[in-house]
Amino acid sequence: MQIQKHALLLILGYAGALAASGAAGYYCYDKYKTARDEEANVRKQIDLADIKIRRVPALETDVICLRENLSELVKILPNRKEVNEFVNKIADFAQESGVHIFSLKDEKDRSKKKDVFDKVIYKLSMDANLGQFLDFLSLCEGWERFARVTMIEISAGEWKEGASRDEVTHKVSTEIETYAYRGNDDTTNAITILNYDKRREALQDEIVSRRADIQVERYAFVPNPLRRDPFIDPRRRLSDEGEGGLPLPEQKALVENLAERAVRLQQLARDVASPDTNFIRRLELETEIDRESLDLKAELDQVLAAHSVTDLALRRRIEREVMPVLKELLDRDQSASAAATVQDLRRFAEDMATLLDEGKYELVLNKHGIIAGRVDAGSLTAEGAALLHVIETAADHAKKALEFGAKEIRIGGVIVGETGSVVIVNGSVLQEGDALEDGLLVHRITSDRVDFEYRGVVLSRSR
Amino acid sequence: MIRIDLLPPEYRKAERTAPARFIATIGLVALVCSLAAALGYGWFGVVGGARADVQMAQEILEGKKPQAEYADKLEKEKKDYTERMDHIKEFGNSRVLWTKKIDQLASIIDSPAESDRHQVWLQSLVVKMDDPRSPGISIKGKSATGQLDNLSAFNADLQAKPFFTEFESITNPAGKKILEEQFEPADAFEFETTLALVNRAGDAKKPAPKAVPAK
Repeated sequence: MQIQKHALLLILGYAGALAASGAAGYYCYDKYKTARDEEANVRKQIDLADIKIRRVPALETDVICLRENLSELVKILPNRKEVNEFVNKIADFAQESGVHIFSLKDEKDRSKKKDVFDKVIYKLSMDANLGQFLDFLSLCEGWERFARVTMIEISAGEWKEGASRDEVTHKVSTEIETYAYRGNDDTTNAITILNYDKRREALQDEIVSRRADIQVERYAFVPNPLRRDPFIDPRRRLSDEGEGGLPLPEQKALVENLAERAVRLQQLARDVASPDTNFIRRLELETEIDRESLDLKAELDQVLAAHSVTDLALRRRIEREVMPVLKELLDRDQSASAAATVQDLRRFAEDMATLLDEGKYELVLNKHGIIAGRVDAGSLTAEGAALLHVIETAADHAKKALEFGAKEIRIGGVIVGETGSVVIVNGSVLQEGDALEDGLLVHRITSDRVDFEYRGVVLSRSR
Repeated sequence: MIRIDLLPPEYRKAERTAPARFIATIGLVALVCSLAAALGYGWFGVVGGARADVQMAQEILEGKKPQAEYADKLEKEKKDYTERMDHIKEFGNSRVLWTKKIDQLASIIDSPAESDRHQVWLQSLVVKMDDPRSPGISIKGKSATGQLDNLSAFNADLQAKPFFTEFESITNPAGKKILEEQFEPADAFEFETTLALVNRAGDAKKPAPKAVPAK
């Protein structure tokens, strides 16, 4: 029995020892595993921290570049003070453009808020014609600080009976928004980077290369007083008919004719300027341009004085297509001396001499009319000046010949003798050298004709 | 044989433990001692070593924490500033110069290429930049004479550059004929046209607006 008790105790002892050691061993293993897992976790965190730390230099560069570029970029946005002054600006713009603002509201920003940006929205209502509104809008969009127009509503104003189109104004509403940047005041969370100033200097090129400037487009609006307001009916209102005006088809035909003539004049002007046009042809064209442009101007003046054209679109067409052409041509410099060569002048003089010899005095004068006043004698060579003088002389002779031809000279009879000859002119008996009237002498008497000298030019009259 | 020991216990001869039991007992003691030693080694040596390694790793981590936090702050500031830049750029790029657009529109209306190409005037003009459904410009107007090709000619002129540059679509020409006898010509077409803006912020393009039937 005692032996069994001892054996049992021993067995229990062994079993207990093994069980306890097993449990303790397992416990130790568990703790060991937990410690190793924790160590692995901490190592991972260390690795992550190493990765972050390795990125610090690049991040510092990025942050420096971003800070510097942002500080440049935000200059286009107003600060709080400038936002407050914007209302004064709006008033100035309104006065400058002539719009009449009757309502100005500070609208609430319903969009998602950006922490460092305060959105500012102004809604304006005004009366203005389109030119005034565009002028106003141009001033707002051209403001040195960036502003954006997000809404426009224009309702055409009423063109009242008896009122001029220029008196019509429209109802206009518009919303203008901008952002005030508060980031410059927000320094609490700014990170301190060591040697910031030095690093910024060293990164200047990088900063500039990363700068993506916003292209702030601006539009220089130029009012066009000749352009009709697109919000006003351009048609002819029959109740305004008492002021004159041809029926519309006639107005159209009239304006079409004027426009065609203006086009023809432009073509003539182009021909004058063409290098293929010789001097004489150029002079002929200039003469034609002068004549036709004066005719056109006279007719246009008559049309405008009589208010023959009342349709707005047709009147605009005259203002765009006819008047500018006329003005340009009537104001142009007509001197052609730069292109007048000696050869041109010689040919011209020869033509005139031929016509003079043929007795075609009117043609001589017409030809002279082409060149008269268009050649600056002071800029010609001696030969050119001499040829011009020949041309002037030929014209003078032709003029005198025509004057002589218009005179009443009746040759009653001629007596030719060895001692002298006499002729009966207008009932008076005259010898060679006698004056018929002032400037008109009997130059020579022959049996079949009498030569007279009229103001220095010898001209013949047959019996 | 029965053995009776009459000696008092203090004088009796001690009984010796049986050898097997003795060995077993010694073995148990040895086992317990060995196990205790092994456990002691395991606990203090192995587990202790592992804990020491954890301690060391945590100390290393603690040492790197300030730099890592600095890197996190830099990352956050970079993100913030990038968002601000993007916001300003988006604001800037989304701007349409409406002075220019309306000026161009007025020129198209006033100066068609040929004098009888179209004669149009407007009753209203609405610009909405922030309408998520259809940002753009809507015009209501009239076209003189009863000729539908004048209306389509005007529509074609609206689709020409430079006016159409900022737009991506336009409604088809459609109108309703009216008679206004107080004017000459009395016939006119009432129309409504909508032009949709190109999305400048880079979002997916909005679908083209449907043609609006004349009322």
